[in-house]
Amino acid sequence: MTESSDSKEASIERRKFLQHGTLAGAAALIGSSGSEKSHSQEVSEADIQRPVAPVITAEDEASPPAHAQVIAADERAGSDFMVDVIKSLEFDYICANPGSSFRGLHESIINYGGNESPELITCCHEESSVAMAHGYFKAEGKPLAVMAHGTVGLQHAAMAIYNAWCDRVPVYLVLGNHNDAALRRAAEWYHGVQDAADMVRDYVKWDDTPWSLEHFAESAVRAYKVSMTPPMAPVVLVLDGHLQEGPIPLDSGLSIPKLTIPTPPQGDSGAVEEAARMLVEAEFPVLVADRAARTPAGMSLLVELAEALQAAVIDGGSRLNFPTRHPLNQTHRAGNGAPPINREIISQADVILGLEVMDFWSTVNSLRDQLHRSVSRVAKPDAKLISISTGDLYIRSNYQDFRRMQEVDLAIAADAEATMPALIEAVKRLTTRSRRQVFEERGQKLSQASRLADENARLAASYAFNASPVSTARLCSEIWSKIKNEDWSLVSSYYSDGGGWPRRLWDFNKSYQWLGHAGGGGIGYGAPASVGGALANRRHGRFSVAIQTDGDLMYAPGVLWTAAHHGIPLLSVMNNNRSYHMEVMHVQRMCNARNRGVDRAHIGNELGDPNIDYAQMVKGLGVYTEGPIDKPADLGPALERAVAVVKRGEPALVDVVTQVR
Amino acid sequence: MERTHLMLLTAILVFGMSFSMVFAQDNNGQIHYLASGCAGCHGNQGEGDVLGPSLTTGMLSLARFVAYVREPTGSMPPYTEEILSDSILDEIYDFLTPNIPQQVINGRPDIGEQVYRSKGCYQCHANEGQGGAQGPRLGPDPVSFPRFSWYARNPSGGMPPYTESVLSDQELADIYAFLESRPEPLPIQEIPLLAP
Repeated sequence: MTESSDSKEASIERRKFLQHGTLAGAAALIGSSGSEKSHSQEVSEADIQRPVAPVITAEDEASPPAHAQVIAADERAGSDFMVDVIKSLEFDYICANPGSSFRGLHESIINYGGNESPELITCCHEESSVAMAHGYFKAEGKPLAVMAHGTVGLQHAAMAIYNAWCDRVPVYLVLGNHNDAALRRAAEWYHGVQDAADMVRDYVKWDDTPWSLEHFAESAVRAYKVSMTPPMAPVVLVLDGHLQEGPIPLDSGLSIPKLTIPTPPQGDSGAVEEAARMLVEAEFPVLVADRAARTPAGMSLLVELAEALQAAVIDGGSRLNFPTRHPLNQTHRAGNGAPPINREIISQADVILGLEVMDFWSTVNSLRDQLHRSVSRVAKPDAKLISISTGDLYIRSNYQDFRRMQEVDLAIAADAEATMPALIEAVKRLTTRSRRQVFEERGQKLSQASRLADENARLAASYAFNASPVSTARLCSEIWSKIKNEDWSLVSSYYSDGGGWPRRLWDFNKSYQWLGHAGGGGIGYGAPASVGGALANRRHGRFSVAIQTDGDLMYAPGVLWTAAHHGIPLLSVMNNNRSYHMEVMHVQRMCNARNRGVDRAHIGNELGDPNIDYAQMVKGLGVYTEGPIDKPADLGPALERAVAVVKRGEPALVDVVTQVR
Repeated sequence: MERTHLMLLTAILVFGMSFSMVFAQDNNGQIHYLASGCAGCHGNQGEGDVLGPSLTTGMLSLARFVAYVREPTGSMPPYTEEILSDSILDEIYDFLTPNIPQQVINGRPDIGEQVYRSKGCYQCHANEGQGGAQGPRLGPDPVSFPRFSWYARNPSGGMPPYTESVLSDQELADIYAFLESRPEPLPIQEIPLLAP
């Protein structure tokens, strides 16, 4: 109660001061300018003396001093307490493009908090802040905090929040806003909003606007808990400017709730037993995993399950669920194909287990994107489908990222990783000696197919290996030769996946080596997510590499300055095809469907004339660069030089002019 | 009421049937080909792969094709009539042997290279026809010209169709000649960067 009445008094004092100061200042300004005009006509040039530098403007001089100009010895800022709460949640970093609506919290983080845990990361765009947090989480398993204006900052951040939402990645957003209209400065009006979180409410899991610091403490802990409970997603807290800036007594008695992250939901024991029975009895079960490996343990569990069944595994790629060179990995078909899905394997399955598969319908069906769209079933008509997914626990209406509904035979609403231990135990218990023999024979065939797929991938990569511009296969082979002896992490390869080559040619066997995609398909994710992933990898001494597309980098290249400024080591190798290539293909499809020919399909899609010199551009951001390189023989030496720079702890970019895909 | 129900049932049947026929009219054989797992060894277009030979060049007669599928030699699994009926095999055979008259058109590889670019083939199949994430390899050693030509006019999947009004037969032949002229790659053993 004491604190509440003190705050009220302080607000009234400040309100009086602002009202008085503004009116008096305006009057002084008018009087002063009128007087100067009348004198100027009477004095000669020689009489003019240089004025003394004023310590205060005439407007401010007319205002009396405030009742209290600095915080009292027995007080501290409300945002200091906010930092106590934020520290209790163990954030390593907080990303922000600076904004006055959260200046109180900004100051508390760097001074009161010592700019440690969290350390403030300077970003040049709010979309970069959020996408950095997106990439960071997937490498580290911990969320980053992000500060932004509740209006213009959030508007910049919105697309990246949507990506994180679709990818079920927690991002902890703290928005500044001045709720009390009577105390707003001019800019705080157009930076002010009644309900800041409204704009993104459709694609965050939870938001709140605390009205007191006690309320803030509870909501801050609740937000963290909600965001980290599967299905994970971004959360938003809107912090009132006056709540941040106003003083509170040192002995305010505010407390911070204890954080306890709920254990993820495990599948019902009866349903898990039934799933195990179906898998053990199947002649050709296929395990499809998409976001199954929520933690590093997820991959080990999936390996154990697959080996217990000797079943084919398809990794959907939203996370690294399964080692790429494991003999049961059947993600890539044997022919001249690329990811994402091995439809031949799906078509042979009699039981398909989907583990956190976001788009089960497209896994077992195909939609033909022609003038008249048509669909066909890929899986056998009588194939039994089982899903284990937190997607059944939570769904929203407006945005359609939940995909088309797929009929399944057994749906287990649970976290796949948390459910796998019980499933593995049941599978092992139900496996008889005769079934084990069947499994082993199946495993040998799959192993042979996997080995042939690997050999075939290398054969396919050999075509046009010495062509210029550089083939995407050559690009990825050159990168692999430079990193394979490091503790490496491919932090981003969005939006081309390097032609699909990394997962066909590289040996991925640790969860941080592949961080999936953007989730929502929003371009501009790649560059900031790679910097966020590299920030997480830095403390572990990992070598971070990104395959960076040109169209993606042009959204907000300033994030590479952030990498240089904060000493974030990252090797960014460009897959520069000088176009928004995916869109070229879409327009080509329209051209030919209308029988007009594709000759003009490049219009509006190409990034040439003039060609963008990314090496020059990024060099200006303080980053070591090489390129542009279009001859394959020049690529290896350039990469070597860049690798040496990254090993010194700095970012480096190699601009490689490549073929389109 | 009964009459209304009958009309509704008729409508559902009619529309349902025509809907299915739309899907079936141009790629039924390919759907069966893919669904039956043939592509796993013989490639998506029957062009052949590491595990299985080409089914588009020097194709057997229908009778011998069916006989071989029923009782294959080598490592190919047998497909009984219960698994694949004769009528489905007919459709797969039609898919693998499109009935297009062989035209003799002299292709010009140098012109073909320009057409290959201007018509956007490289966007999915890469500059040298080596293939990529969006489209398979086209050369060197392309499928037969009739099959190549037929597929360009009647593609399945996501490839945009190229009618004669946007790509002439001569231009197709030029592109084909360009693809035929692509150099063979070095043996993998001679490319250290592709070592496992």
